[in-house]
Amino acid sequence: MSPGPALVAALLLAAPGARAVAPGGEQVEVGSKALELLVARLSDRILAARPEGPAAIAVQSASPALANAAAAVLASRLSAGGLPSFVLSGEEEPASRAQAQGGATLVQVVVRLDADLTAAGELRTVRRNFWSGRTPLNDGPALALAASVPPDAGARVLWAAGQGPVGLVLHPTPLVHFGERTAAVAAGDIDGDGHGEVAVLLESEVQLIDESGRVLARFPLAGLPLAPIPVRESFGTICIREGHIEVVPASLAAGLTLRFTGSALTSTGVPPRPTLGCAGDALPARFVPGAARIQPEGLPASRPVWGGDVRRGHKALLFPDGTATWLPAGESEARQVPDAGAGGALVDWADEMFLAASSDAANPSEDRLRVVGERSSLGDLPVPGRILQICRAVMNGRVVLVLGVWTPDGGSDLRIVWRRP
Amino acid sequence: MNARRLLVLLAVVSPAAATAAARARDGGTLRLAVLPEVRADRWGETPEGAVLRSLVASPLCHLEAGGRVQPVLASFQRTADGVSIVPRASARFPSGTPLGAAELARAWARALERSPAARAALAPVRDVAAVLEQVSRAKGTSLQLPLAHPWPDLEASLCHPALAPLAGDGPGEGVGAYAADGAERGRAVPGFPEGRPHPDGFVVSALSRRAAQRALEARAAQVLLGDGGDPAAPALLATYLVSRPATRPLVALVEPRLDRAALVRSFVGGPASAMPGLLPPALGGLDRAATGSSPGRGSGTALLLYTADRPGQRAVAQRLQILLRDAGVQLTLAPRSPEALDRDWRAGQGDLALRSVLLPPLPAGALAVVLELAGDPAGSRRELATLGAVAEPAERAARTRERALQLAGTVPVLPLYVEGLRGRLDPALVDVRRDGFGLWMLDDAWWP
Amino acid sequence: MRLRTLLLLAFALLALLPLAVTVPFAKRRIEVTFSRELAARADSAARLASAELDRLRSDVDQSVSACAADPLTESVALQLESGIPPAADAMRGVAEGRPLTVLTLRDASGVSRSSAFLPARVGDVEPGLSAVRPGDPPAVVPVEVQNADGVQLRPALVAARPVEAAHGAATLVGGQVLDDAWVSRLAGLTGARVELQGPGLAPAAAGTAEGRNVRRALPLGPAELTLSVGSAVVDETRATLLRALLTAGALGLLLALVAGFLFARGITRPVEALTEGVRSVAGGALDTRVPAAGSGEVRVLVDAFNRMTEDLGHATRALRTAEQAAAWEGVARSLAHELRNPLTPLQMSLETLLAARKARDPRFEALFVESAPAMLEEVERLRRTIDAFARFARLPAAQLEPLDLTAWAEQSLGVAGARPGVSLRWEPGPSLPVRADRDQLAQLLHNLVRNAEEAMPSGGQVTVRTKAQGDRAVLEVEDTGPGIPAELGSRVLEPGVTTKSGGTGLGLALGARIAQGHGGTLEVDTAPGGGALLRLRIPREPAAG
Repeated sequence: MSPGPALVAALLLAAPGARAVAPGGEQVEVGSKALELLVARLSDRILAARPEGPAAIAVQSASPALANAAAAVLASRLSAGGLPSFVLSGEEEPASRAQAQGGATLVQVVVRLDADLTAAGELRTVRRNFWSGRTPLNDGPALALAASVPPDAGARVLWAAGQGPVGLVLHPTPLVHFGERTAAVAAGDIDGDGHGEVAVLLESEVQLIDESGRVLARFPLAGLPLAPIPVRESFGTICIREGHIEVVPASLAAGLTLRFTGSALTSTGVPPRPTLGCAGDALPARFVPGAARIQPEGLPASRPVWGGDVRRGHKALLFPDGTATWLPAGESEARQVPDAGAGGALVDWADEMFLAASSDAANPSEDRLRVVGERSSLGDLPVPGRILQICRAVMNGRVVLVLGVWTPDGGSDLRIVWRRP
Repeated sequence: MNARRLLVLLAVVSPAAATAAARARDGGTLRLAVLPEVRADRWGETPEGAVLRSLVASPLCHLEAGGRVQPVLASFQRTADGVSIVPRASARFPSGTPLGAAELARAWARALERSPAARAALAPVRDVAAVLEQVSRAKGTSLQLPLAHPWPDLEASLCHPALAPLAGDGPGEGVGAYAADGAERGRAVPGFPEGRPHPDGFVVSALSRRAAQRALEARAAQVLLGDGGDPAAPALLATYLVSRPATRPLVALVEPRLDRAALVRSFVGGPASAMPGLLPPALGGLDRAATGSSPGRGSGTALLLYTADRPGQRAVAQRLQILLRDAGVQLTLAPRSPEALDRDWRAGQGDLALRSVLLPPLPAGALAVVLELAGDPAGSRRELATLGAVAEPAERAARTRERALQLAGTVPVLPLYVEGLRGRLDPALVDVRRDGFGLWMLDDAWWP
Repeated sequence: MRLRTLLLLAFALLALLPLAVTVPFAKRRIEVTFSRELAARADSAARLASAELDRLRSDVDQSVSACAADPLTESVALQLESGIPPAADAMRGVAEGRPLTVLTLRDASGVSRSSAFLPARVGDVEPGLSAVRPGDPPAVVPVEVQNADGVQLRPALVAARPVEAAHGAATLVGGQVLDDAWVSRLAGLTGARVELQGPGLAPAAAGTAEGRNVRRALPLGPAELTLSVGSAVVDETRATLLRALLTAGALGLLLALVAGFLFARGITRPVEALTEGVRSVAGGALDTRVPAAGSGEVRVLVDAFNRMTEDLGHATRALRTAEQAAAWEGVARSLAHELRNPLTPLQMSLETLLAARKARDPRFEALFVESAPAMLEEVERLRRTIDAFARFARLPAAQLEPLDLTAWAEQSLGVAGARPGVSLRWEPGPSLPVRADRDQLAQLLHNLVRNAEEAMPSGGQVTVRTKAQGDRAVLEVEDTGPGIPAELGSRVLEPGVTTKSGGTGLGLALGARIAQGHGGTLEVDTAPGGGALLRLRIPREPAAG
């Protein structure tokens, strides 16, 4: 995956005479005062501590372009400030790599963009003393680095752009942020007004949200009878049918059918059973007690899955070992999709069915949305956080994906991904 | 310039390293490396000890960083009189005994004897000793706590590790996500109210600092307790120099000579910072203006009690010994275990004591702890009643800070420094979050 | 004093004299030697201590230099230089395994930045250590030593070295505290009592020095190291020596006494035998012979004694015989004289008568009648005299039996009457046990008393007394008569000598003979009043029991 030239943000370096070079070899410039300010703050703090050079710089970010830009700017600022620095190659074991590449100090920073453009990390001494062997001296506490600036458009572009494949765009800001983790997400038009709503199962309640992220109704789950064996992770199934929501939390003894009265959700009717998929051909399933797993029924020789979808005859199952199988409609042989995470959904764009799945092998603070189609692949889209739920929705007339993303602070986001036409 | 370009060219944009899994998989053993001075203490006296303890003895609830109280072992309900605590049905001790109101009351009665944080948390309860005594003999399903005055922060204070329900002092006496299987091991408990933890068990090894760091870097251990720390995390382990009304002149000798920043820098180490006011900086504690008095001189001898297994306290105690010597007072240092320190101080031994206590992340609750250390129960109740009457949280916090500022000169409690959790995590460990106390909640931990 | 005792004393003195000379001399020599020894020990202790201090100085020098070059020190110093505050006890790692008890890293302004042993002083200028400059030789300064009980000032030998890697920003000061353990070691090394003191410093002392102390002092900066060597051992040795000397002397003396005793006995035994012999001879055993023993002068003496005793025996026997003959001559002469006296008037009377008858004188009848009684009286007188002489001759041997002279005299006097006109006065003496013949003694007393009475025809006093005189019992009869005429003296005791008219002169002689038979004597003396004093002196028996 390499960033497309149209979207690659070139890096403007504050230090005169120094240019960052994009991997493609082109020099492009883009300005982000916010990034410069952020880096300036960091470098001031670092230089004030007067560490021993040379300094190795390792910047991580969900957006490689942002990471590169930040690293290059930081390196040049530090060098200008008298501390020879270089940007670290490789991501693993930054301390060892820094030592291997001859660094005496390690600057390790994570840059992200939420409400603010933030950078947080630490400055550590990694100078290896000949006498002490390979063991780095850990003398004294690492110096903490933190800086935060309000973002500007350039930063947003760096953040959002240059990461994903051609065709998939992640909306920069979450649709809504919850303080809890999402257990299941479903989308549909519950009230038939032509606008889609999103129903979210959280640990303590069910929320109904409209296209703009406004909460339409809540239904608390406190006090309902619990399942005999509790499940630690937020897990369950949810579907929007006409006028009501069928939700089955794995932590409760039974599911709920919630009717939307326009302003509230009320529980009615027969408790539903868990299903894989929400369309008419949804697969009935049952939960594995005590685990965040679901066992679809009716499929021969099937293991429990942690996610899956059924749409128009296509069946997708995501297994806990990180693989997924996609049985297209009418075919008998399933397609193996490697590196599939816990969230998956089947989505139809332009008459082609795609399977959108999270990645199994992603960094816990940054996941990748992998979208593969029957015939083509849309590549991977980096998403900050962990994607646990994916569902197809129709918003503003477009078919989009709604992602339930778990954030490191213990909450979760709903994010929207659309396909660039 | 060329060199710089070259350097930048070397920065290869590569995808993020593939190290995670999408969702937790069960299995494996959570490996913790702890430094020798870290013990699993049941009264939450040290953050590291509390984290270690919480594996086998979960607190009653989790106070999240945002302030939300998440019930773990019991749920809370506000009644007209106070708060009703209902233990969850699935909360059981490893022996199989369910956690009932009687067991909780007994555990809290013991906590009242030993832990100032517990005493402070239950201070707003009317006749707390009698209530606990009565409930521990009855067989009710809920523990009713009648409040002597309104106290909105009660539920949050009940999440303190010192109030974790424990049947006894041994390692296997609490209700936790793991059941102790010997002194250094634990097995996952399938029936835990929050669900079984993802690893099958945990194992704790006591290592030297170097060995522990190496273990962490080699991934032989996933959690290191006792070294390192995150300065950005809330630092709520506050250390005070407590005196008696008769020995306050000694504190007046120490205070002008004390440079808290240097104390923290040179002697405490780790994620610590100076605490000039009664409340820690994380809670907005303010410092009163220095009195500007010149350092006086004294004479005679004094006895300082401090906690034996906190290296920072020992270094601070030695520093105080030196400072008082410069002031003409011969200070004798007496290390004590935490239980012995509490017991001996309340029995009247010692002229000064270094006391560390994990403060709740709420200003009013923290002030309650400070007043508990000051040893004036009646005065403490008056202050808390006044503060508890303010319903709005922001205003209550502001009032508390003001009050703390005013009380700073009158209580026999000199604030020194505040520390956070010392520890480092393997970056591959997922879903470990800090609670409001700054402690890691390791129950959700898993790794790909 | 007896000869043997004298000799013994002489021996003892002879044995004592050399001791009396040598012992004080030896004692003084010992004292001098030992006190010199003590001084020498003190000096050697001081030298040892000095050497130990020098060794410590070089050790400290080396250790501190090594520590200054230690990579851990360098890294701490670099941290310091680059503004990152090192841990207060970061130097502990450097001090591990090194013989240092002071180790502090200070910055350019002298403020302690990291310390292995006094981390509590980080941030301050450590007093005492700030005086030490890099490059100076190790010096003793007061340092603070901290433990749970408090903080004390103790002297320490410290040196300072710059840490090269820090380019002057950091100096390492290190050394050794001269604490109780070091002082103890020094005390053990030197065997002396070691004291280390100074103003304001906590004192340290170890070792013992009993008895008189000899001191040496070494100044150590603000402190002073005092080494005391006690004379206890020396004193003990000296006492032991003296005791041995005295014991030897006493033993020698004892031996001398024993030898002297034996030797003296050997010498004096013949002398004593001789003395004993002399004594017995003086007691009358004239046939005493001392066995011949010994040689040399003693032998000569013994032989002479024996010879002389033999001669004495002969002479005494001859004398006795002559005395006896003389006594008989005297008696015969006295008898002849006495007999002749009455015979003459008798013869005259008879001749007259014969003449008258022949002449047929008418006065014959008257004459016969007148002369016949006178002639009868003369014949009576003759007869008396012959009786007395017969009695004198017939005196049997005394049959001695024990009696108490005083008691017997009293008794006898009570029986005997006194002539009227004469008062008898009895002055008893003590009890006088003697061996005497009662009858002869009675006769003697009777004679004496009669003599006394007859000496005082016109009355007077007769005093009889008994007394003891040495080993003799004395019986005295004293009168208030005219006494014994001076020209007679003791001749009155000879037979035939009398002052009385018509006396036979035998009474006193008889008494003298009786006295002789009792082994005693009869003496004649003059009484203080002028009268005669007759004294019987006989041996006294020793008191029974």
